[in-house]
Amino acid sequence: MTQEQHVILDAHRHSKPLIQTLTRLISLSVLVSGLLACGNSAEVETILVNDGQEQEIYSGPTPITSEVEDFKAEFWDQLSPQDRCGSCHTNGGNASDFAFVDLDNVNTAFSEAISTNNQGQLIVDRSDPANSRVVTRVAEGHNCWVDSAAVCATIIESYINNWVGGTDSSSGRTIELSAPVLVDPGDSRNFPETAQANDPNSFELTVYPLLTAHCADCHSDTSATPQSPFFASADVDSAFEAAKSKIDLDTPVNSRFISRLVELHNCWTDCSSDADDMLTAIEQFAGGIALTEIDPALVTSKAMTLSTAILASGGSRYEDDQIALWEFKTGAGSMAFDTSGVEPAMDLDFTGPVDWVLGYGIDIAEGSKAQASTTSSKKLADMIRLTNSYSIEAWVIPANVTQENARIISYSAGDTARNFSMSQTLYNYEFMNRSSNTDAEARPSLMTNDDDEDLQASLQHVVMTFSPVAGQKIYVNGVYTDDADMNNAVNGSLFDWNENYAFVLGSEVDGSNAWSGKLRMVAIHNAALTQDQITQNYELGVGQKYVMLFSVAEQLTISDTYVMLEVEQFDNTAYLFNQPRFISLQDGYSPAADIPVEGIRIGVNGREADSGQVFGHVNTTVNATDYTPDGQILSTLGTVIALEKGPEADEFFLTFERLGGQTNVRVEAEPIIPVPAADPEAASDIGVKTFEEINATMSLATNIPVTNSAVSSTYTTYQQQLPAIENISAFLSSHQMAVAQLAMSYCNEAVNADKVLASNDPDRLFAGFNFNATAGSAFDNASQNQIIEPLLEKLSNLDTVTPANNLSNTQPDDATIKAALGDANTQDLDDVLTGDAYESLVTTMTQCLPGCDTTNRTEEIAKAMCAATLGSALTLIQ
Amino acid sequence: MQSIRFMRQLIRLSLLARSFCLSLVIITAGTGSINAGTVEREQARRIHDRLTGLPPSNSVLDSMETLIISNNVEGAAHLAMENPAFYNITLKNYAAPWTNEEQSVFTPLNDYIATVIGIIRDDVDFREVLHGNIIYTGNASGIAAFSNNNNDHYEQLELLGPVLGDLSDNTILERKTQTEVNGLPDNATAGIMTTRAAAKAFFKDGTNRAMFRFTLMNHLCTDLEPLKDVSRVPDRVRQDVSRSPGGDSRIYIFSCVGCHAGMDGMAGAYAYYQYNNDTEALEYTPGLVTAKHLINANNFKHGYVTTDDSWVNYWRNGQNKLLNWSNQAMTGVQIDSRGHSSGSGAKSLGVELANSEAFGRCQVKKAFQAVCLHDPDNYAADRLAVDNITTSFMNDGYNMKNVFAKLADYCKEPQ
Repeated sequence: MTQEQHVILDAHRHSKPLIQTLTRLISLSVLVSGLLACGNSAEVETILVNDGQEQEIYSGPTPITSEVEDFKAEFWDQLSPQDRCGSCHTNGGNASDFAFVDLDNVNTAFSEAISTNNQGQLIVDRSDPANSRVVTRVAEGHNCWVDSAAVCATIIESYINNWVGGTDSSSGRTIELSAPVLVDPGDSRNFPETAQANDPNSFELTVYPLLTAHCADCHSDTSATPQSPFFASADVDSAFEAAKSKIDLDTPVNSRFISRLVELHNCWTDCSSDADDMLTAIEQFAGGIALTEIDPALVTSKAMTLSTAILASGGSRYEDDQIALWEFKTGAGSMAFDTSGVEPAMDLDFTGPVDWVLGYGIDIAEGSKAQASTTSSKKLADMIRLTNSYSIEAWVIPANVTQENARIISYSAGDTARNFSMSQTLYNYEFMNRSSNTDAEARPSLMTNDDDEDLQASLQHVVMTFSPVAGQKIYVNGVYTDDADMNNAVNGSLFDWNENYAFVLGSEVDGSNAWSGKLRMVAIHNAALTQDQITQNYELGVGQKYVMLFSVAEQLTISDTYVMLEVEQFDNTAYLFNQPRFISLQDGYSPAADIPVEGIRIGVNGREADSGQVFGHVNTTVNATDYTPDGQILSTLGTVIALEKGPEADEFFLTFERLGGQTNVRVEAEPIIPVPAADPEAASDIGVKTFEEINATMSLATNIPVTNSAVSSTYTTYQQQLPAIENISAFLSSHQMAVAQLAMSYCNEAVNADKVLASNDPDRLFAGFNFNATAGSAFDNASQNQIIEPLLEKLSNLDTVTPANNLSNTQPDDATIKAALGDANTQDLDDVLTGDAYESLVTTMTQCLPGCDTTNRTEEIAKAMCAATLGSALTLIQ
Repeated sequence: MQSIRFMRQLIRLSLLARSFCLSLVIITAGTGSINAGTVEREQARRIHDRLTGLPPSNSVLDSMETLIISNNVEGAAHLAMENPAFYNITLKNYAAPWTNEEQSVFTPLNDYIATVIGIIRDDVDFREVLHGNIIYTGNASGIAAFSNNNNDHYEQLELLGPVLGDLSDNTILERKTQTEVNGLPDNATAGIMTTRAAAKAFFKDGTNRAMFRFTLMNHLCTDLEPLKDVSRVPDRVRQDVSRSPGGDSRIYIFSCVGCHAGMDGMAGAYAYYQYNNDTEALEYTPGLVTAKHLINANNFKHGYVTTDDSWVNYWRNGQNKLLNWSNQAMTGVQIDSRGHSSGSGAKSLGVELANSEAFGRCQVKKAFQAVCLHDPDNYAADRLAVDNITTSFMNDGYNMKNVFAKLADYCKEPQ
């Protein structure tokens, strides 16, 4: 039995055969050993001066194979200078036992590089460059030439990748699976919901005061020199989130806050005492948090953490033409390193609150930027003008889709002078490329189509390419956006590029056109990437990926069986768990009997995650037919699970509703019926009629059909100014104005219709009223009733024959109405109010007598009486 | 007193208006009494007002009063509902806001509204509104024929007015099957969800989730927000939903997924529908998932890929169990061992939704608002009335006219 296998995990989620990388490794070693016997003797070295940099020119034996040529170009040339490895790791040097950059003979250097040290470790592991001793040794702090050992390690790794990577787009990532140490999921303390929870042992009252008192000069977003993470932010909630990953609730002494003080990091009195104070505070905070215990009813796997997971690093990004690369792996500090290995390195200095993204990346808040020097940025102009082609490649997460003219990436001198920019405007990406066909601002530019909404506020792979043949193109998530290059860039030349501009992320160099979002990776190539190359890089994804092997051997009583998941740090707040598969590390394993698997859930720190349990309905059977040497996929889906303590502390495990013979019947809790609130103040018992009801009521009262052209026209005009809802509190004066207009229209039609009929015509509305009388004599009490009463009969069911039938509790008193409209005496609007006396409508409208003693005035008064009745609460209220 | 206060306000308004427009005077109510009518007559007047929006004739009022005196209040309400205005005005404007995203009542008559009116008028089981092969069309001279490509037929019917275009007349507004009118196969019909008006409003552009959301809002009386349940298994959440909006997964984990876990499971039923902006018609593509269900796949490529029109209701468990889904055998709906229901297509989803108690309660609540003029959720007595009428509605063949009648009875007393 072996406990190692090699399994392909490719981005297409297609299963592929196993690759025994060791085979390739051995065969290459044999080949090279045989050829080395043909090597030539040493030659002398010369020194050239290039841009003020001394560079050694190799004049020893020529590389005997193309493999050695690649080795020399991508690895030896980069590391052989005296300020790197050349002073020691060469023939006659202090470390001549490991002369992997032998200055005398590149073929010997190659042989040394692919050999092992006395611990059996490969100096250069071409199947897993990160595992190379030359990388791990530097990562341990051995003679790094920049401030960060991790950066040097990354750079050397990139040299090896450049050397052995090639352009094979068909190869997947090769993962070596090895059995993890079996650990039971442990009981755990988990962070409370808020910074204020568990008073007086809350974060706010324990750890936070120390942080704000002693760390806020740097670790606050409002500091003059802000240093991420902002665990001393003035906003306690933000500080709490940032501090979680620095606190170990289960073993407080292991907290990062303690270890940094022990490492003498900016203590405020003496470090030992300060560390004790911090420990006391963390212990108090942790002591207030109850232990989360594993539910004994759960069927669980063994536990895993990111530190015990298997790195799924490596892969085959297309990088042959890459001249600058920022992977943002450092995770701390105020500088992002160019790890392309192409000199000079364009390291980016942060300005403003640039935060680090867990799992690689930077978070650029509006107003911050990351900028290279003009000197190092010159690399882009120099190398891109050579080819007259280039590509900008980035993994981008726009913070929103509302920002406009915001620079994600720019190589410029400000908003009016640039070489290129990648920009966001709402849902669009914009590619500005200065060429012989544009102005100095790189206008006209190429913008993605509005309707396509190519830009989304989620992780996207964006590539912008330029070549004189194809012009400008934009690719999003591996797909050409089909946005035609309208700016005549075809056949354009980059000759006019200014080599004194600076490369910047997140804004223009002067801070204008600020962009907000996250960048997980940025690369510049001095060639227009092809569709295949873009697809290759897109499918590889971004960020560190892991494989977790959750042992289920104990539950199944089948040794070396696991449920394997691909895991990555999805962003600062979550992990991605993808595609669970059942797998055994035993050679030739095949399930002897069917293994039912149902209801997989992901546990974090002693409990199942509350949300994101996408595998909760898995219901399948592992069986000999479906099982392959790569395992059997249990679900093709993936999910995000919330980060809790941080990637260094979160412990994961799986639970199952059914796993083989083990079951945990899950019973859904009955929902809690919400308790209704107490009754508010009583609602209004009445309401207003709505637009069409008002119209129909007026039609009913006047006998004028709603289809009458005049009233229909008025109604159409005022329809949307009439009440649309019954709520009486929503009734406005504008509604009343529309009601008045409509009432006037109906009454105008009604009077016009009546006046041409005989006074006793049965079709008359105002039966008996004499329209031929002039205003001075037309309105006595009886004739007024001839106008008012027909309307009241329709509107308020006035029963003049049997007054007992009148609706006096809910309808207006007809006598009051008549008085308001026609009484000769002064009227009182309200008994309570003072100064509210008024004259009736008829009195008011006959004040013009005798000058207006005409039949026309009679009609006007009749219409007014009608409209005042019709346009009143009689119609409006229900 | 409240009504008197309001009348006084109206008076002040009228005085203001008088100075501007032809001396209009608003009349006060309840300021005096010459002859008191019977309580039953006042109740009859209110019932008629609320159901039809119009005052009754004295003869109708007499009849209604008589019925109420004989303890047949619902009979009086049914008499009021014989007034065509109940259909031409009340029901038309009752249904109009359901047919557009803006929820505007100022909407021309369309096939959605006409179908709701017809179902109520003809005492059809109201659940058909979400799954029936049913549609109502006009039969009047001089109007355009029904078309899948425009709404002319209904707009012209409305313009005829309440006489020639009387929707209460079953010879003018006729019941038909959608199959014979718009050509959808029977198994693709789902009541109002497959009308042209609904398609234009909710299948247009987007991802068809709008149809689900607005069906919930209009027929289960809840938007998605109150239904958020992040504990549901999100295995049907599609690829287009970003799991890290703006780079912050917490937004998805603690918010977005609360709706999408349930919604995306059920909205899969619409996978074969879309509204064609060019032809302005509803399109049904059996067996072919429309492109809108597969857009923005790279937002989260590990998400669910729609392959058919299957749907699953995860909200039968968790807090949304309170919607009280039916456990009766239902055509096209299966219930699994976990208690989740599932099916294929909009029709069976309509069955699932329409048989929930939330659907029945929603119809009662909407009618309550129309008749009693306030939201019943705020008052214990109103909630109890809605409970009782909902039970009656669901046991009474889902007859909406009876709901209006019972509510007219409940709200008949002037305070």
